[in-house]
Amino acid sequence: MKEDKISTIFNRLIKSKYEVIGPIKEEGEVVVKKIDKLPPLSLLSKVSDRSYKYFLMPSREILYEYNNQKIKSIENKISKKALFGMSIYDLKALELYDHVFSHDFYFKKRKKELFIIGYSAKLLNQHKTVFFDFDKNILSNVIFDIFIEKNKNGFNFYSGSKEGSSFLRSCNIKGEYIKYNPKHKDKNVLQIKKAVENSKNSKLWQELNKICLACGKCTVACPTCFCFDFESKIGPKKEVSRTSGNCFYDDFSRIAGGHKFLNNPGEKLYFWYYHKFVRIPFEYGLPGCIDCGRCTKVCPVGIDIQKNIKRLLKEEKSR
Amino acid sequence: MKNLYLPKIAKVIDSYEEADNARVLKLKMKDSSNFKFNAGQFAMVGVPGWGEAPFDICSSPLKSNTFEFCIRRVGTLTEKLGSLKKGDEVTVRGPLGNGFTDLGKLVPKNILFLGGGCGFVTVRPIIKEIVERKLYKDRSIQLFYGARAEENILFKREQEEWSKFVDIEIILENPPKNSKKYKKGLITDLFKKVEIPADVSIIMCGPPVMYHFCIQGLGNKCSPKSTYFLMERRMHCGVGTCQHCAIGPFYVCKDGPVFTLDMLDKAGVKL
Repeated sequence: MKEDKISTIFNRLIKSKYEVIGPIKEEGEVVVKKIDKLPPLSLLSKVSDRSYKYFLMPSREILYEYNNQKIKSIENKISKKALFGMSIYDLKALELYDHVFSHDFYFKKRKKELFIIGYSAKLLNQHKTVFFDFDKNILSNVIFDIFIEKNKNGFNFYSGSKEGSSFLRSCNIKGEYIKYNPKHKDKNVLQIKKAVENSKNSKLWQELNKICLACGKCTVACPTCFCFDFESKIGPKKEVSRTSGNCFYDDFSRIAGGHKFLNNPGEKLYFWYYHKFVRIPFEYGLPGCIDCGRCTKVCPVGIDIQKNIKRLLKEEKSR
Repeated sequence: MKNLYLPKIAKVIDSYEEADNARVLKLKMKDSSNFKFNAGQFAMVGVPGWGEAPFDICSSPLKSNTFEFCIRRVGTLTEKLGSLKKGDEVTVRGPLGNGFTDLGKLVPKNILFLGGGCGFVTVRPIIKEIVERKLYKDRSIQLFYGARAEENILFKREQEEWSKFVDIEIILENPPKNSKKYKKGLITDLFKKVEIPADVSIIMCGPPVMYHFCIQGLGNKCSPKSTYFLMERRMHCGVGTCQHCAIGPFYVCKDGPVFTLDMLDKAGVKL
């Protein structure tokens, strides 16, 4: 009965000509792609196996072309998309993208056409993570249009934008408005930053160097991994595209003449962790890892990011 | 909103061969706009269809209607750039990075340049600015240049002009047999042979391994706040986003390419 409200939201999205992106089961995995009907809420109870990041930054997009001796920016056709059922963790990742790409012409255009509907299958105060401060104000630390929180008897609805508020109104659903107020001094983030910053000589990196295959699956699964390459194509249309990068591949740090700055899986993992736990907090004050567990789940050799961070925190304490 | 990734088109107005399989391209913006930059800054230079890569701007920063790059042929793009002729078009995105905003205000005033290999390209705009602004008048300017062999020495002709104002010391790994002109050895050998003022700003442009040994060789002379390094990394975006050039908490493209020893020390970057 109470799910009706969610159906109302979903149907209204479809009616409003949104391309709705949400979780769907495919070959045993929960992927996110275009959906036409409301997914079973059980699919929303856990973080989806695949993240929503490629709808924020596609794995390939043409930026500009050189034609008739002129440079022309490509106006990629952008359709209105509703990202449905993003977990609170995925919303933290979206917040990061919003900061990282605040000057990015292509991201800003795409973001403008996005409508974000977050979902939590349990009360928000029942979530726990060591990676960032998850307090009662968590909803004011993320970016969304509508957030749905399941409670004992039904659902709580929140709006995080004017668009979200008017959408809920149009569905006859009452929702509390939450103003975005980013947390720039997150004690958990700062603690981990210090631990990773001081970990250069930790044995952890040597141990990981022995087992990591540098396959790069973690970076594909990670919702906050946003590294990219520019790629040029020769042909009748001389195009320049942006494609997803991967810091585990040798090309990532290779310069002309062949020298590389990241030379083994241990160095690459350290670079990866350093980006998430030191550089991102240093630049934006935000967590670079949002504890979704996707990298741990896809790692073929069982590297567990949560276990490693807990170990580095312990080592830092005994330093 | 400005699109930071769109390059502008520049025309090759002159080009000539330099030593070390390099070619100097003199460019002018197609729309005749000025290209203002600081010594030490770089730009992404590309050929449509062939990609773009970072190159140090090597002409005098006091001139902005034309500007130059010295391209050493080491890969596909540089081979292509090296084959361009007058009238050909390239794409230019920049200037990027920090550079030296005012060389006249460097403290200490005396300057020691350490240039090695093709890193020497970056020394050129700095020396040119010093010579053109006559900054040498009230300070000592020394230039130590380490190269493999005589044929690798860049800007040899220009160095004759510079040597009127700058003390130039060249040391070669493999000098010509019985050469009286060149010393034999590595750049660090010069530290024992040539006197360096006690108070000196040091600017190093060369491969990372050179930095390591120069810091060791110079000891106390490398004051954390007045020892500068020009860092090199792979780059794609040029504006501090894509992560390729990250170094500690910094980006070479945005926070560099000029770093002080102090900055790198604090970031835990070991040279």
